[in-house]
Amino acid sequence: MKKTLSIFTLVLFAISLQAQTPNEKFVKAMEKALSGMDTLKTSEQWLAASNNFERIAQKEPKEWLPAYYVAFCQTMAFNMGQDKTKYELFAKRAEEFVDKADALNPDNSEIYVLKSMVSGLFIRINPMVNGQKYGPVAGIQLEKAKKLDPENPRAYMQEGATLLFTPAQWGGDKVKAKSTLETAAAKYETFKPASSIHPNWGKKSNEMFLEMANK
Amino acid sequence: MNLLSSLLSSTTLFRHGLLHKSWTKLVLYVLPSIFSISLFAQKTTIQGQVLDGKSKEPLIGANIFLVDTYDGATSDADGKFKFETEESGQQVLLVKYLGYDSVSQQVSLNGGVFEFNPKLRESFNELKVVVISAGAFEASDERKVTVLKPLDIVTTASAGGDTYGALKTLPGAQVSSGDQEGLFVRGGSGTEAQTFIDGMLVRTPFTASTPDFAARGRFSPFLFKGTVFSTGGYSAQYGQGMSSALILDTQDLPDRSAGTLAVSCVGLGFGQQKVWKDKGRSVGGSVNYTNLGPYFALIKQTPDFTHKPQYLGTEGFFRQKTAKNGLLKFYGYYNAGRVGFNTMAPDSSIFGFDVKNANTYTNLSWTGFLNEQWKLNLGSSFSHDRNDIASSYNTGALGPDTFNIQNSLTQFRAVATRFFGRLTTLRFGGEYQFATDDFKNQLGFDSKLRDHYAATFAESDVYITTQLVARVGLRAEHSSLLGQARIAPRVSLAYKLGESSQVSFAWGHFYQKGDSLLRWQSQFAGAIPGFQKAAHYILNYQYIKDERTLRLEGFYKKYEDLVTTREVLANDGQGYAQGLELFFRDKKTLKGVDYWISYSWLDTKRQFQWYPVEAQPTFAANHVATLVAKKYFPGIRTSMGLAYNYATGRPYFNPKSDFLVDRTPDYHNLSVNASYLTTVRKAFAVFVIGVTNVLNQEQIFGYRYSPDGQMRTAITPAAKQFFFVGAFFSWGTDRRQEVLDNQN
Repeated sequence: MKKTLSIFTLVLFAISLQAQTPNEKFVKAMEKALSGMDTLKTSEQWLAASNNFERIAQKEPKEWLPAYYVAFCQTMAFNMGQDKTKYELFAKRAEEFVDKADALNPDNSEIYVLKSMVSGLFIRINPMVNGQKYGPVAGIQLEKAKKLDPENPRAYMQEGATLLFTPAQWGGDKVKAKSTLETAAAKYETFKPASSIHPNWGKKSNEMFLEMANK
Repeated sequence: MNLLSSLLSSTTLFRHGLLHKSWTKLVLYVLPSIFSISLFAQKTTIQGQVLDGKSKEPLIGANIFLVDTYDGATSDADGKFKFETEESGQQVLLVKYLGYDSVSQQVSLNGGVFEFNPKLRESFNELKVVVISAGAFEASDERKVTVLKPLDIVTTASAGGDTYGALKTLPGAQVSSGDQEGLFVRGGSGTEAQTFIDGMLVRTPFTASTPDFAARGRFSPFLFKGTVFSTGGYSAQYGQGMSSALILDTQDLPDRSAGTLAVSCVGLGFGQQKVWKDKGRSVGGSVNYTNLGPYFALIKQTPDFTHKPQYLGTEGFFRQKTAKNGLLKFYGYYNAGRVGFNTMAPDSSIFGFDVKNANTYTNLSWTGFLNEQWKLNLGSSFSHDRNDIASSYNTGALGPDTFNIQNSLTQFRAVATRFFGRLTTLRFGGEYQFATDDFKNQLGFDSKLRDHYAATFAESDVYITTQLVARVGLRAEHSSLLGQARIAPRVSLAYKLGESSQVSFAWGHFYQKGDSLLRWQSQFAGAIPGFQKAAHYILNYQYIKDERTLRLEGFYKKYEDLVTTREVLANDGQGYAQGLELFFRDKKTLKGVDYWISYSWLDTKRQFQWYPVEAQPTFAANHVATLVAKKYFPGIRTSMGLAYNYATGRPYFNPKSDFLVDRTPDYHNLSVNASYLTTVRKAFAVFVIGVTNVLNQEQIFGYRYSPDGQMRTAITPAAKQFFFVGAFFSWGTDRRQEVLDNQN
């Protein structure tokens, strides 16, 4: 009987494993895709990460996070990329997915930070042509991100980085950049992501930017 | 379901006590069946290599996965991939790779190893497809393989913000035609180059014409999203230009509501546009006032201006998205102004000229897709131009002659396009134009011309492969005034030699009415002359790679039936033009510097108008060269540009020597400009300064002789140099929240 019972337990265990809810599976897949993301360096690595999220996105078309991370990875692939001929492909793909995320979850601060970053990509592709269109849009998106969640450190980091890397003639300001990045740093200290798979990146980059602003 | 049935079966077994008897049996039979769908579900390994179907090179970073599952992998540096899945049965495998067409395959998974070696085909990529380039320069943001961008038109130093000024820096066009408006292309006169907006002919694309000074284009370069400048061999969709077609496409729905303000040393402009993204609608308008009075007070001009150039213009737009993925566009323009001056005639008498001009232009068009295969363009346009001229030109006396010249054009156009696959298309359609031309002077001369012109055309771009395309077209035209019909065949071929180079060839017949010369028909004996004809032969080589463009083009052009005005108005003229042209643009070699070089060699002679013999016409220089360079300094947000235009001398009429054998001095013009981009409060601002003819060289376009041929005066620009100082502001007028909502 004892043995029977143990087999029964085993069967139940097996069943329980099988019966993992769809949401748990989704979270597991996301956690797996997110693991090691802070070690990615090359454009190729970011594209591989983007592939992982894209697979999840097509499986879970109602979830905004996979689409958000696809756009984020494409943005990073752009940032790390050397091949200028691919910039437009990356930026367009980032735009496609951040818009998807926004449609699934409107008025989300994190998505608006990313939208602002994507607008920045288009400006970098061709400042003369795209600056007029995307310049003001990028600023407005960031303001909206802050309004939606004043505690989102990434909104302040992005603002600080923009101030830091924009020439003074065009509104860049190193002093302002520093104070904004300091605000971001303070907000990173208290920031708690909504879950293990919600956006929780940028703390290290913020430290790096702050170091540059201090120089 | 599997799970549920297993669960049921195992509990059933349990309840029936079977487990007591032989749990080993359970282990042997039942457990594996449970495990197969749970803990140790049967796994299939999917592995293989992703290759480019054409080059057989491995593709790195492709995404291979089972649709609607989490299972998949990314191909490695050798294009290889491998992943395991617990899925079984019928599944769909999908391979995605940026820039390539996705490949999907139905698979049946039942454990073991599944080998999958997909070969991907590069997606439709316009960079890889041959396009007809003979005779055509295109400026567009939408298409990638273009020689120019729309912004180039406004940032070219010698252009002065005028579309036509920028096009003069391209091979084929004359640069030293500062005494007459228009594009003088490959031995053709200014009237042989036609302008089309959204497919429809523009009768008066230039502001009021004055003797010896070139007028500017009427329309702002910012109106257009695409520009094609054809120096020959153009599509059968267009007619009535023997040498050139300038094809302009107006902007679609703008991105955002905005206001614009322009302040410059020659005038003021103010514009507003409002966009309703959700309704797919935009409405806009602008007012422009030009007054050269203050500028002329500052910078001395050669003629004595009795009325300094002054114009007041207004524009209105309406754009609305419609069903069938369609877009309805309306553009309306009205401009009125006056200019008057006195100059010294060669015999020291005063030549006076004064023109009042009023011009109306409207254009209404709709483009839509009936379905995936059919596209329809419908358009109508109306324009009216009135000139009231007072001059002492004919009499030589101070009492002015008066002329009243009015013309109008009413037209309708319809074009249907049928798409076959991704590339091959068939276009056909027709147009009808009703043109009036009224000319009156105080001597009682009164000419009224009315022409019903109808044309129909069909043209097909046949892609034999992505490397080889043939465009075959036919245009039939009829003019009621001329009482003539003509059929104009046009053929172009283009072949892609390699990834970056291609050759194209174009041939065609082009007919044109005799324009304003026909007014004088009643003064001459005989019937109104018929169509003039030009035949074009063009061979082009183009190489575009890594921000470098090289174009070489050779052409031969034969003119027949040119209108002559010797004894009778007749089609007795003829001529030819041949030449070689080079264009080289390079954005790569010098960091941050974008420059282009154009060179044209032209050999042309013709007998037309009043020419007693065949001769090189007064508007043609044999050698024309241009260098345009731009550099953007991001640190100071400033773009600097220079343009150097050179042309050998043009023939001029000297009564004392043989007909048109004399040449003016060579023409030089070095222009520089700088634009500083910044923000003023919430507005984007561009501050522009520019100077033409920096080196202050003498520019002589020709000479005007006294009636006895003893004295002459040089035809020169009104001033040697032109200084431009201006500021342009644009700002979003929506409340910020609205802008955000709009761009979602």
